[in-house]
Amino acid sequence: MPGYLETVNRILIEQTSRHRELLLLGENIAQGSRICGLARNLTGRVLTVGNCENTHVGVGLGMMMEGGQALLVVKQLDFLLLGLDQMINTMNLVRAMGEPAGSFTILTIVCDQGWQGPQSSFNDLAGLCALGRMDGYYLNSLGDAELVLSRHLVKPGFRLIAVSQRRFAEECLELPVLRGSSGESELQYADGTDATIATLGFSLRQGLELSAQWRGEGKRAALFQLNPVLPHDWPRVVASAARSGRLMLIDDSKGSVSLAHKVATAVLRVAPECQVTMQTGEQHCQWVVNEDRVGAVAA
Amino acid sequence: MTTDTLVRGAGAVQAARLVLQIRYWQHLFNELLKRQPGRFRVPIHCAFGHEAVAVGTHLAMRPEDRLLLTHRNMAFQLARAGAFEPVLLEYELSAAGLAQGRLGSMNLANPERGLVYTSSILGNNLPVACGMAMAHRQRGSGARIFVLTGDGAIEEGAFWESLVFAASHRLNVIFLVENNNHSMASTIAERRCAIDLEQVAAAVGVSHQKLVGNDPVAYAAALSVDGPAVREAIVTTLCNHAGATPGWPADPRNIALEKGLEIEDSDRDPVHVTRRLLDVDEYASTNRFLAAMAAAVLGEQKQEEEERTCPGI
Repeated sequence: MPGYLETVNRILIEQTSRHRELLLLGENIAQGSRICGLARNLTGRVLTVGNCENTHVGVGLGMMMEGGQALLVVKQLDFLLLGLDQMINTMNLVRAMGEPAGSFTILTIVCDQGWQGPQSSFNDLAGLCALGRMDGYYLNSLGDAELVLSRHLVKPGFRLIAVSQRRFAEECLELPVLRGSSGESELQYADGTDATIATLGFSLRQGLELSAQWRGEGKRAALFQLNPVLPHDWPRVVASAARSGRLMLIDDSKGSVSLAHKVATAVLRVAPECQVTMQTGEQHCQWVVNEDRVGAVAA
Repeated sequence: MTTDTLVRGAGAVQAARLVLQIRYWQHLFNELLKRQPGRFRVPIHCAFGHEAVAVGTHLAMRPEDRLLLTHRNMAFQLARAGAFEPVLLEYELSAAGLAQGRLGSMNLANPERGLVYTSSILGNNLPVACGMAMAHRQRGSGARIFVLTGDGAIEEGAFWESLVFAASHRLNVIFLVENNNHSMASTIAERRCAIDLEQVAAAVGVSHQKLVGNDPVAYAAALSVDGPAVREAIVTTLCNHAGATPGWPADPRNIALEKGLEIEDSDRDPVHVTRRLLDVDEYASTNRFLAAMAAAVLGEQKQEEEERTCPGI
């Protein structure tokens, strides 16, 4: 079975080669390891750029505003904090001026192996997206990587796509997406009526493990992966949780107010009796779990 | 009008008239700000003293070129729009405004005239300009991207980053730095060390030229270059930072249309410089014409005010 990094890289090569106008830019995008291998063997308009992330983001947005297509590959999600002015202020103005014809995508690696040190461990893509009302996508599996990269890589407008460095050496989850909502805000991987599992960030694997555990206990759970895509709307998850009466949210981001809280609120608004549990944690070499019960607790 | 025709002379008169026209329109805004506080729902930054740079840039721009501005953009907006009312209505956030009332003053763009982006954030427009230049190079349009910034914004990291980026990839960006020695209320000496832009530009292999003297024709010629380039215009902002300027702290100037278009009897005032570009009669007649128009416009405003104040009369 091919590895996660190899799979994402393969799909990236396929998709970028279909768009001859697409400018691929990044620090070390054509040197050394090619950004940890993520950008290996990319061809076409590949541009190595210096160390100025704020400008890279502005350049991508400027190209988009003039009808161009740009893909910025960034080694670490935390580098993008330097580009917040562009992602938030410039995009707010772009929205006010109307839908741009061009496209700008940032593909970034989330350094979540647990040994980078406190500064480089920022992993909250959804939190970043929330600051600027941006769309974001997590690549967890072969299914979502194919779907997201084929549909959103050069779509008009701006978005962020993230891959997990802690998954790089692992085999890629070859799960097919059973169904998704428009915009890929929710991707369903399994059917089930006894419980609902919704994963955020790069915790689909934890969701699968929990699902298998429950299956051993004779319970079948519906399994979803969620993305921070506007409008924040998860009709399938809400319907599934309302039906099953039990929702487990798993989020590996370190943000203090995660997207999971929004999902919980949406579910409890429709199904106040639903038992909602939130499992958050962070990957410091091992999965450290904190569980919180939110809303109603089953008797 | 091309730079060539300007240099030959006939265009110089038109350039001078445009300086006067923009000054006149700015006076109108200033009078409205003084007489009707609260009329505008957005902050207004008049740009008295910036007219020659605005006209020079306007004249240097070809149809395919792009212009990105900052918060103090009034003179440039008026030059590109060629009209007062659409800008006025935009400042009133009217649906009939230049941008249908969506962008206000500090973000006002006019894409049909190549004015594609205006940012209220210091330094924010510089990376965007580089991206636009990249897009135009890819499509081979040959467009020049003019991006306005100031002596305050060049303190931001984005200026250095963008200059290096443009120089590294030889982008057709002209960094137009309006050096008015002020960032809001603080002078350069009060807030930082001196920055020799000529040396900064030279350090990354980019041409630099100082624009001094407020001659719009000379400015247009200096700006008619391919980038990357830095053009540093020495500007005196003759008004307050924002809002009406009936006289501002530590400055005896009391700007009023009834005193005429000219504010300062020196070359720091672009209107003063137009005296050399126009003959005496031309200057006087243009000035009289604009003053008469102002009286008419402001007279109507006054009447409207009275009617609003005394609806029964």
